[in-house]
Amino acid sequence: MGEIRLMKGNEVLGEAAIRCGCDGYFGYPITPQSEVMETLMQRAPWNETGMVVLQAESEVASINMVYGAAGTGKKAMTSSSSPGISLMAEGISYIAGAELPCLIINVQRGGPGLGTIQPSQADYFQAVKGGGHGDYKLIVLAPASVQEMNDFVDLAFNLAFKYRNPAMILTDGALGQMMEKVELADQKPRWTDEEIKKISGDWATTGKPTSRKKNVITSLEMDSNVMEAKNRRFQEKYKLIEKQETRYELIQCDDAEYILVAFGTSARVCQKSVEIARAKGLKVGLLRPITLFPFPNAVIKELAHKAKGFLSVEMSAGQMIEDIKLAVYEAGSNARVNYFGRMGGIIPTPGEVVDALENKFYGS
Amino acid sequence: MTEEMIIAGFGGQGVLSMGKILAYSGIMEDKEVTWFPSYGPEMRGGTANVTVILSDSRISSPIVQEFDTAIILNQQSMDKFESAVKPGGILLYDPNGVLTPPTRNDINIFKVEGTKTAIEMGNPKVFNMIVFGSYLKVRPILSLDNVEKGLEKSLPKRYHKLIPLNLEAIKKGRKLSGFALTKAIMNGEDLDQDQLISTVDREKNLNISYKSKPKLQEIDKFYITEDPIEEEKWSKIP
Repeated sequence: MGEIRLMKGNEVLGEAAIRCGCDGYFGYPITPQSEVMETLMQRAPWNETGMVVLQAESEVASINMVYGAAGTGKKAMTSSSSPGISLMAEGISYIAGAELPCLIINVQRGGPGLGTIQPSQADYFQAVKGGGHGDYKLIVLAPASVQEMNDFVDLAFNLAFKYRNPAMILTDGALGQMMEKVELADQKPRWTDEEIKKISGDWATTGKPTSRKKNVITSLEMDSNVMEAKNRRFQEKYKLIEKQETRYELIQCDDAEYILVAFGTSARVCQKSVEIARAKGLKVGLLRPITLFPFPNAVIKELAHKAKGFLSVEMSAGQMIEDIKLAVYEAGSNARVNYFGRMGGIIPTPGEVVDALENKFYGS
Repeated sequence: MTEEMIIAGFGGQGVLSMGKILAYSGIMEDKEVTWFPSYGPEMRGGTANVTVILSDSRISSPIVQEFDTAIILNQQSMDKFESAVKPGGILLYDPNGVLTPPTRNDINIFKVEGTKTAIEMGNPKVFNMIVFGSYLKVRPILSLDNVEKGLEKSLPKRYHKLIPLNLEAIKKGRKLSGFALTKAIMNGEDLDQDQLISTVDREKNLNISYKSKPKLQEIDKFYITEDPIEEEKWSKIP
């Protein structure tokens, strides 16, 4: 068993990065995720593993540093909160276009604009539908506990390298600021130059030997036919990710008439709502998407034939509900799909969710 | 067992650190823990509060509407959280910061003279640990060994020399006399020592009814179901 500690979600993100053998972190401070870089700076991993931790002059600079580092086949990452991620959007699109593996963490706060520093999930669309320009997808993981914040750092890097695609951990200020018991992974060594050549040698810029062709990293392609072929290949890759990497958790869905769908902090709230609803004799379950892209369409389609309705519980104005509706529509089911959420930094309470459920489905 | 509690007071009163010690002690007891603070501008000089959840099973919502226990250290927090205690739950408060005492008659209220006792001890800073000690007496969910380990884990090494002082304060808190207002007392019913034992023994049943004659009284000592081994350990702290 690994070392057990009481840690904030943000601190764990930094610690897990060191322990999974990350090569470089480039970031710019913003509430409510500043503890990520603070933890890294305090731990000074450059002494221990050789990991680089750098405070850039802006979010735009950080994401481009990640772009550069990822191009060498190294494990590079950044973290920010909502407004900072918006600033990074261009760079993220470039990275997706150049097919580089890296990790971007968004500890969301309420928006739009500078908004608030309190937790929110209003960057769902931004994370799963693009955010930057062009037809691209990020692999998006949504942890719901501090333990998952720890586990998903390593997982995100694994997936990113497996598919040569940027991965994102989409979390929020509540999970970032919350402390929970966490079992840390053991320290993994950083990849050696030889290992990097073995893993990513066919595309990474690791120094060209005479034995192979030049590896070029770019998202630019002036020939539209080639660009279209590249896009088709991307879409194939995203389909493969959908097929192979969809992750979710079902809680008491077996006999459920109505199903709450929620991720991250709202999923934690909904777990309690299920308890309250069950105590009232209401047959309610919870579907917790763990990957937001790929979204668990298949399981929703399956559930749509058994359940009478879905309630999308969000800390946003009705974003994930669109994906639920699409899956229910594709299933050809008549299940009703409703929304309940809070915005602007407010977290719904378990009781509010149960009230919404009763109002919308039980007609009380 | 699941204990959902709120600790609330001014920033700087040690609200967050009391929660942290509690959470770390919970981990030592092999429990699941969640520590969820208020963060942002309100931390700066204003009120600070932290929700702490200890449980034997996976913890669901960090957002709690009704608390099993509230530890209240200032008036603003009393105004905000008195109504948020579950019927039959526990409210501990330090009268130093609270001008209007709580009035609910369906919860168990304990007045803990934390600040006063800390000044008597010659170290006003440890008043939060005195209140913490009283809490541990009222809700004996953590053993001394684990509280000690919790202190060790949550205090930076350079403060480890202060652990004995903190333990002494916790012990003082455990011994404090208090003022218990229960539904029964507010109704004017008498409360004998045996019944008081039951009122604070939550695992059995908090909501007991009293049959004897009405009286509002101050109680010199709390008697609760005690683990003799545990009590002996506590008694050894100087």
